[in-house]
Amino acid sequence: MKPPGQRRCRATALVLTLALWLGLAGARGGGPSSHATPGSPAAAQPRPPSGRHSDNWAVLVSTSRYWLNYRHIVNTISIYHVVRRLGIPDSNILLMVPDDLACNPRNPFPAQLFNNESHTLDVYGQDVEVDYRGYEVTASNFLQLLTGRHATGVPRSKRLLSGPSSNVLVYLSGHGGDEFIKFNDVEELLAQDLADGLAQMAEKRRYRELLIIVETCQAATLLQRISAPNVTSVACSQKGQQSLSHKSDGELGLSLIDRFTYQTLAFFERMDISSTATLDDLFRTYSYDLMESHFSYRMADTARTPRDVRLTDFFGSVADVRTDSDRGPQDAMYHGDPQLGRYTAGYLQQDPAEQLDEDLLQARPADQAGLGPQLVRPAPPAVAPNWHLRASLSSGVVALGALLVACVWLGGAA
Amino acid sequence: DVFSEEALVSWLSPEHLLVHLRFDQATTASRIHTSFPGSIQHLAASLPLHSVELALTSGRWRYSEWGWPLVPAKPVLAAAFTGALDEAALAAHWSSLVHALSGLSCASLSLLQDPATVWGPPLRLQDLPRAGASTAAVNNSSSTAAAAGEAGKRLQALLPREALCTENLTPWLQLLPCRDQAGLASLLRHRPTVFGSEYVSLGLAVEQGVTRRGRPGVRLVQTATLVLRVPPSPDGSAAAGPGGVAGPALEQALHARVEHFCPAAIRSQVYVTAPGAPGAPPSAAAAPDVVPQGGGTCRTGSGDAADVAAGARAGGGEDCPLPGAAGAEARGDRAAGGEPGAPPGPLPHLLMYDTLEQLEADAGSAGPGLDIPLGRASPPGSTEPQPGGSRALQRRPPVWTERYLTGAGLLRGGMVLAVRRSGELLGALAAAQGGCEDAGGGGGGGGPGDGGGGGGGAVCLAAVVCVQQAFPWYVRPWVHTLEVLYDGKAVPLPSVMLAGNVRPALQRASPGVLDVCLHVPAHVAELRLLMGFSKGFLTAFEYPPDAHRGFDIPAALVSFAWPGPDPDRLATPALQWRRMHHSGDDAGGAGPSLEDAAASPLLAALRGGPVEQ
Repeated sequence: MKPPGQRRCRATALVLTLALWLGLAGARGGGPSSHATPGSPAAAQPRPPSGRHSDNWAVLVSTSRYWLNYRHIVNTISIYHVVRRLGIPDSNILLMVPDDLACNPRNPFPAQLFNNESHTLDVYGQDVEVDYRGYEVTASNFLQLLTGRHATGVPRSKRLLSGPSSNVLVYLSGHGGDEFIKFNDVEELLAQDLADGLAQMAEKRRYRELLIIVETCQAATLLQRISAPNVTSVACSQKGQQSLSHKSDGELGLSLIDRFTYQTLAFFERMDISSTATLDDLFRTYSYDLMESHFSYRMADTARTPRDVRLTDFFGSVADVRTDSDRGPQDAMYHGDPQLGRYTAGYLQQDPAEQLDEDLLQARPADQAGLGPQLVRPAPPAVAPNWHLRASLSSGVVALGALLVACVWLGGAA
Repeated sequence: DVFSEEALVSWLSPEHLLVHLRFDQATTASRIHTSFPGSIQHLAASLPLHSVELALTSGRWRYSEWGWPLVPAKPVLAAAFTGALDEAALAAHWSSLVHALSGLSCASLSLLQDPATVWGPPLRLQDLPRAGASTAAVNNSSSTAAAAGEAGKRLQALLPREALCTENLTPWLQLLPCRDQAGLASLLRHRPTVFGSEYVSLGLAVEQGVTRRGRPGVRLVQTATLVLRVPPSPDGSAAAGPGGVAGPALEQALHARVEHFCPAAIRSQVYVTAPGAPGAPPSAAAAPDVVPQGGGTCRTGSGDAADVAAGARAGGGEDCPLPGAAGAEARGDRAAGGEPGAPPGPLPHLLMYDTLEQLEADAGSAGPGLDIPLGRASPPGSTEPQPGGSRALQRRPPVWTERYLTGAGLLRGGMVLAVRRSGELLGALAAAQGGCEDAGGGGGGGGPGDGGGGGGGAVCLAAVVCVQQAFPWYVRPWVHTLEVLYDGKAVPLPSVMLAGNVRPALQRASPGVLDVCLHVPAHVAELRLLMGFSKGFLTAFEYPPDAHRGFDIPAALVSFAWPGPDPDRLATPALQWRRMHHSGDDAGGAGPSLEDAAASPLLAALRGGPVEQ
């Protein structure tokens, strides 16, 4: 007769094993390796988000370069301004801006970008951090960013490190058409690419809820293939409609911003982090009279309405702060740690500042060491063939081949 | 951890003000840092780096108006790796370095990861004699190999065009212990002024070093160089400083206030070139009252070896006059670090302000933080250049270079690089020629003279000009068309080439490099290199989106050494800056002896600007 405790133990182990096996099977079904086609019931099944999100991320993309597309970059920077103001830290914002307009020689206001002709609100700000810029803004980089499939070595600041409890905001602005948006005038992101990317994000559990806003011509067509769960998509224009720019600025000589984003920015400028405004409140400020295009939204979870979604869930910031005893040497040092002695010893071993100053700061670079009036010996003529060989390499195999043929021919003739 | 900040302010022309900020940090600690940025420490610890240097520049240095740049232009990214690394490891390290730096600088450096933009060990003027001495049979390839072997592997890359704006400054400032909230870095707080200036350059250099005790250390140098256009004030009212110093204050010019000092800084100094003629004693121009200084503030330069040995902080018998003190806060806390008077004349006099003390004194009052008057440079017409070539910061460039394209059409073309020596340089060269010959005769016995037998006559280093030019792979230079003209007369290349490294481009893999060091006799006033090229075929997707604006060819780098055995004549600006640093530091450091400093070659880079094709 075994003691009852042991039997209970075995039963628990059995249950555990079963649970583990079930869990593995479930994970295999929903893991990132499986490639669920978007639109299949498995991917489209909405799992209503439970609980509260733990952090916020924002991916803000402009896809146009050149001075004439000032407004697209200001659109994106405006949303950046909004999310920064509402508290999302720079480390959680991935900003893709393909051209540098703030310091463009044509900009009479260096290092400033304005949202309207009064030039009162500088959306560029004092400490913007652009993560992808110039020719790095490509459709493939954008999709890699969403899906997290980067080359090794890409720094953390260029990755979207969101998790299953993160709320992600995606904003796109640029030139587009029926089911595509152009990237830098050389490539296009198709609606199906975007939908696949978001579906993959869902499979990899890279977001809890996702809000995607697109400001482009015929924006609704770009979003119509999205089938990933828990995605709210907002488009500024319908098929066949343009996304129009706001008034032109006399001093800069072009339109500063697009109308849809102008309305959005105006709404958010009146809002702060304690606001309880919902998506519905934002939608009510959009009107055809101001934008001359019909905005539309889609929510994958049909049970919810815009009235249930607070704007601060996406544009504001929630930070998950955990205190832990060994997060870092500094923390450990301050909060009492058995290894304090070791750290202190390490600290005391440091060289005094004056000596560091002497040894390192005042050190002269090695290559600037004195040379004096020195002599350099010219290269002997033996160098020349070597050099010629390289030169001829550069001018192609043809020359060499011709030479060879000539030699053979000469030899034959002799 | 140690942090020091310095600034140099100087007028380049009556309207252009040069502001150069330099922040130095160093540490030997491996884990716990009080101020040193952990990301840099991590970078230095995880890669076998000897040094890495990143420079982002926008704007154009106007050589003709502003004279020679204080801080020479640099390739965008240059790194030296230690140890013997094979190609694959080198490529991997380079790639991770580029990724790390692009995260640290917000620049689109990942394009540099592409091997088509990176080229191998550049031939450097500094390495020539060393290599010549070390190898018995002086050979082209062996000399470069020896040079490369000494310093590990060196790689550099150039982005022909890269924007520079607030987003680059933000992470750059985050590496500073006080960011832009305190200390001299808060001079950069008004971004429109900073980026509205005519020339902006941000530099970041990481270097591994060893302290005297043999502990490994990491050093981080951040530099910011601005050239501001400060229009003359319509009324002369703001100009009237108490000391008769005319001109706006430094903070006024930058539209920024320095409100606090940075507690981490052990040194925080501002140097201002004294108004008036260079060579005049600073007290005559600026300060009517000469106040003897307390021992702590007045420092002499490191020019004299005797002073170095004494290690005395108090001036070695030199009076340190106060510069024109503005306002009531004129305490004894400003010292004029008049540059060492040993050779009077060659250096402009610098006024030194100790920011730490000044701000500390003002801490109680909410008044103006840093009040440094800038004397406006007198118009160039009024001060006649002094005989003997006294080189102020504002002076004619000794070398004038120009690069342009010839030919028409999209397929073929030619490129011309002209290097002209100024009369001043020619004079110095001619003067140096005798000394160089002497030195060559005397030193030949122990130096490189007995290294290789049978070669031609040795050449004075001052008569060497090195030209380095990289081409993207789709521009195919025809090296056999390379012509060298001295004063318009063609010379055969092999006879004048001292060392060369010509590497043809590999299609879509690596850029072509033309790297030659030529012996240019002292009498030659103009050197001209001509070369033809044709353009490679690009597929549609290899064109940049803005194909109509042509292709950028990286700038050519022209290096030469300022000649002469006479240390008095040798104050090149780069040298001056370095020397000034030493004079700012306490004199106990191993200051360079003048002879050492004098012979240091000046690397002069030319930003030829993007060349349209």
